Amino acid sequence: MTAVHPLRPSGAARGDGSRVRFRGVLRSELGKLTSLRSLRTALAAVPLLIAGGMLLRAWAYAQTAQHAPVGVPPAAAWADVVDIGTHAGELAVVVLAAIAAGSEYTARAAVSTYLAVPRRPVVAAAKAVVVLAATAVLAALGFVGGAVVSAPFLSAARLEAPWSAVAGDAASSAALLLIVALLALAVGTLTRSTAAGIAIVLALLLVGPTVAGLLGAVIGVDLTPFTLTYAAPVLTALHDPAGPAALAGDAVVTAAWLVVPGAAAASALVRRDV
Amino acid sequence: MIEVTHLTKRYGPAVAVDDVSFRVEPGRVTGFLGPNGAGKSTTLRMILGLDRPTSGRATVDGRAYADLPAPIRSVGAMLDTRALHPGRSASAHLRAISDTHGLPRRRVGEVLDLTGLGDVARRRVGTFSLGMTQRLGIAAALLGDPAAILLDEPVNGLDPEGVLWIRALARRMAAEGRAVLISSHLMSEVEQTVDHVLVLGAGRVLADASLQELLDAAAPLRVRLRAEDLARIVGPLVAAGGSVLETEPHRAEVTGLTPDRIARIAADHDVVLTALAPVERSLEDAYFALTADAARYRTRPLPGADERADRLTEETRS
Repeated sequence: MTAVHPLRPSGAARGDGSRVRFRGVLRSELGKLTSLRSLRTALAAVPLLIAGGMLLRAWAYAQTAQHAPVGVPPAAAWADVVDIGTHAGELAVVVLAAIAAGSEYTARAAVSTYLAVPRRPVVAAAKAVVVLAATAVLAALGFVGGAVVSAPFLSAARLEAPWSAVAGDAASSAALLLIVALLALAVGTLTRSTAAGIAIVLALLLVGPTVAGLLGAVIGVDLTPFTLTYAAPVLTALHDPAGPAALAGDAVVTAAWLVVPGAAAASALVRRDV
Repeated sequence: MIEVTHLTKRYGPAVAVDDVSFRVEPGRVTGFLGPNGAGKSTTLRMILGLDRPTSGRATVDGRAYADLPAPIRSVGAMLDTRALHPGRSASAHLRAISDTHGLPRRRVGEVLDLTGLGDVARRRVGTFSLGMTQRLGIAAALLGDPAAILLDEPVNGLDPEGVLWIRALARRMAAEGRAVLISSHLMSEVEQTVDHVLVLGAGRVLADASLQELLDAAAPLRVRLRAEDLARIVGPLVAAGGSVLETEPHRAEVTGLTPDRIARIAADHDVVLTALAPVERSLEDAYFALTADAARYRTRPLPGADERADRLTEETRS
C-alpha cells in the first residue's frame, strides 16, 4: 500500500513564480483551521453556544412570564438575552483561538509551518486574520440565529424590542468576542500551549473580577474598572455607567489587556527557538 | 549552496555548536555525521532559522533562510518526523505547506504518489507508522522541488525498499546539480550514498573531506597476508615502513604498505604468500577513529556480555 514509485522529475513546483505571499499564508491558515477535528468542533460551537445561550435565557423569561409579569423593559430583556449568548460564545471563542495558536507547538507542527514561512510574524498575522474573521462570521450567525429562535419566547413574555436595538447589542457583543479571541491568540502564542492558553484566558475572564474585587477591598481602591471583563464590554457597547468620559479609560484598559500579552507573544514568537 | 560560517549556539554554559564552518556544495551528497549530542540537529535548525545562533551565520545562496523569497523552493528539509499535527490528514498537512507558496494543488498528489502515500492521503497522520511518517516528511521536503535538500535521519523506520529509494533519490538529486545533506547514524548507508562527509563531535567540525580522503586519513590501509614462513618477512616489512601484527600463526595484518609493495618484498626474500588481501576500510572505522574523544553519551558494556561472547566464540569454533 505504501510502495514507493521510482523518482521522476516533477516540474510542477518549478518555473511558476511561486513564492511566499500573505494571501497564500492566509489560505494555509484557513486550511489548518478547517482540517482539524478539534478546531472544526470549536468553530461549530461558536454559533451554537451563542444561539443556545440566548434561547435558554429567552425560554427562562417565557417561563417566568407564565406566572407573573417579568418587570423588565423589553430592550433590557433582549440585552440580557444577548449577554448570556455572548458569555456562552466566549467559551467557544477562547477554545478556538487557543487551539489555533497552541496546537502549532503542542504537536510540533510549528517546525513545518516555519520551514515554509520563516518570518514568524507573517504566520501570526495570518492566523489572527483568519481566527478573527471566522469569529466575526460565526458570531454574526450565532446572534442572528439566537435572535430568531429567541424571538417567539420573548414575544410570549410580551418582550418585543426593535430589531435595531437587538442588532446594536449583538454587534457590540461580536466586537467583544473579537477582543477575547485576540487575547486568547496572544496567550496561546506566548505559552505555546492550548491548555495553558484556555486556562489563563478563562481565569482572566471568570476569576479576574472576583480577584479584583477582593484586592480592591483590601487596598480600598475599586479595581473593577481595570479588569477586561468590565472594560471591554462597556467599551464595545459604547456605554459606561460612569459616564461617557470614562470610555477613554475603558479603551486604555482594554488596549493594555491586548497590547501587553500581544507584545510579549510577539517577542517570544521572534526570539524563542521553535 | 549552503554556507555556515563560525556558527555557535550556547544554552547557558553549555556549548551545543562551537564555531562551526562548512559548505554544502551543489552536485554532491554530503553526509553529516556525529555522535548523539554532537550538534548536528542544532546546526541544521540554525541553517533553517528555527534556532537563533548565539553567533555566526548560515546562508542559503548567500541569504539567511528567513530572507529567501520561496524557502521551500530553495531548501527542502526533513528534520523531525513528529513535526506535524496527528489530527490532520497527510494531504491537508502538505496543502498547508504548499498553499503558503501558491504551489499548484496537484503537486501535493505528486509527492504523495512519489513517496508511496497516495493511497493514504486522506488518513490522519496520527495513525501512520514511523516509516509512513518518515515518507510524509520526505514528501514535504520534496514539495517545492528544492535546489537543496536537508534530511535528518531519513531512513529511520523505512523498509528496505524505502531505504533504496532514499539512496536513489539522494544520488539523483545530486546528479541534477542540487545540494544534498544527509544526517545519519547508519554508517553503511551513508558510505553507499555520500560523496563528501562532515563529521561533528562535541559541537566542532572534526572532518570535512571527501569520503575517500576520510577513509584514507582516518583508517590506514590494512593488508592481510598468510605465509608459512611469516617470520622471515616481518623484518623486511617493518624495515620498509610497515607495521606488522601477527593475528594467528602464519597470518598477519600489515599497515602502511600497499599489497603490491608487500608482494615485492616477499618475492625479494623468497617468501611464498599464500594469501594477500587488503582489508576493506569502512566509514564506520573512520568515524570511530574520529569521534573517539568526542562522544558526549557513552554506553557501558552489558553485564556479563564478555563472558557470553567468549562462550559463543568457543561454541562457534567447536
